[in-house]
Amino acid sequence: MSSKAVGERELVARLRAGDEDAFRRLVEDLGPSMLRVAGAYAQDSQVAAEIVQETWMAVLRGLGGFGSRSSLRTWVFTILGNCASRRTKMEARSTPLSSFEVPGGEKDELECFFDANHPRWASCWTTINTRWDALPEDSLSAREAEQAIVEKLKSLPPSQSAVITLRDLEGLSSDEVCSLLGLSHGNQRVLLHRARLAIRRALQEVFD
Amino acid sequence: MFTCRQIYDLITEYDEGSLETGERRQFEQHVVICPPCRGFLSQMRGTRDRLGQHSPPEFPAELEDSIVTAFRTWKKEQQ
Repeated sequence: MSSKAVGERELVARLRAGDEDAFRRLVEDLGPSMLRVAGAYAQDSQVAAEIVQETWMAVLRGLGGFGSRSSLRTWVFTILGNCASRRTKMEARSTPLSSFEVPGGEKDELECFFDANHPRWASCWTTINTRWDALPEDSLSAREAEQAIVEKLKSLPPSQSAVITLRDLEGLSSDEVCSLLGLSHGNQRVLLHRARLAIRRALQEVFD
Repeated sequence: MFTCRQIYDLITEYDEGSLETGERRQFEQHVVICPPCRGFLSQMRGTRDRLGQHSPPEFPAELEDSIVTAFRTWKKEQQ
């Protein structure tokens, strides 16, 4: 067993024994990420806070039965996903078609390509993108980029926002996200692609 | 070989490792010779990396307190 797994087993034992310091540390460790993920579902900070609160209640109720098949973090996030789905009525298994759209972005993006019937440049880019993949040194544009990300995340359809938050902001694997949101791998990739396109576009507007 | 438009659609599938070998090869052959698509691939990866550095929101102290209060109630019920 890895030292991490041993540490986690000890932590679970301390939580079951009612160690408040250990519990508080866990809340401080996972809380901010949980709030961010809940915010991706709810897109309302008050509702997101309530989802996090409900999740911890459910974690406490389920602590006695927690096995070590998944990590504590994955288990907590699974409960969070269930609470958030119930609360926001976002049933991922019946993801509406609108979730797969790029809000206010794809039309402009598609205009960057020559028509598929163009005699010489069929389906080629009409413009060359500015390169901004390196982090800008300028802290002002870095701050603007942060702001653009926050705003764009709020405006994405909830399914896209949930997928990109879990994958790119929280670093969960695609298997974990599919299982959490009840998505097929194909649908998860489409939602991730759409969401990354939208955020890329928002960032491009900052850097251009 | 893929067009730029197809590269645009397949970029996440490529980075997720979900393209079949033949498609993956076609994708890479296109990107090697196409500076705009190379730039676009860098931008999509830059977007992903930048999101990874994005800090989570501050956790409100009152929320933490109410969760810890719930823990105390739970602890009492356990005894």
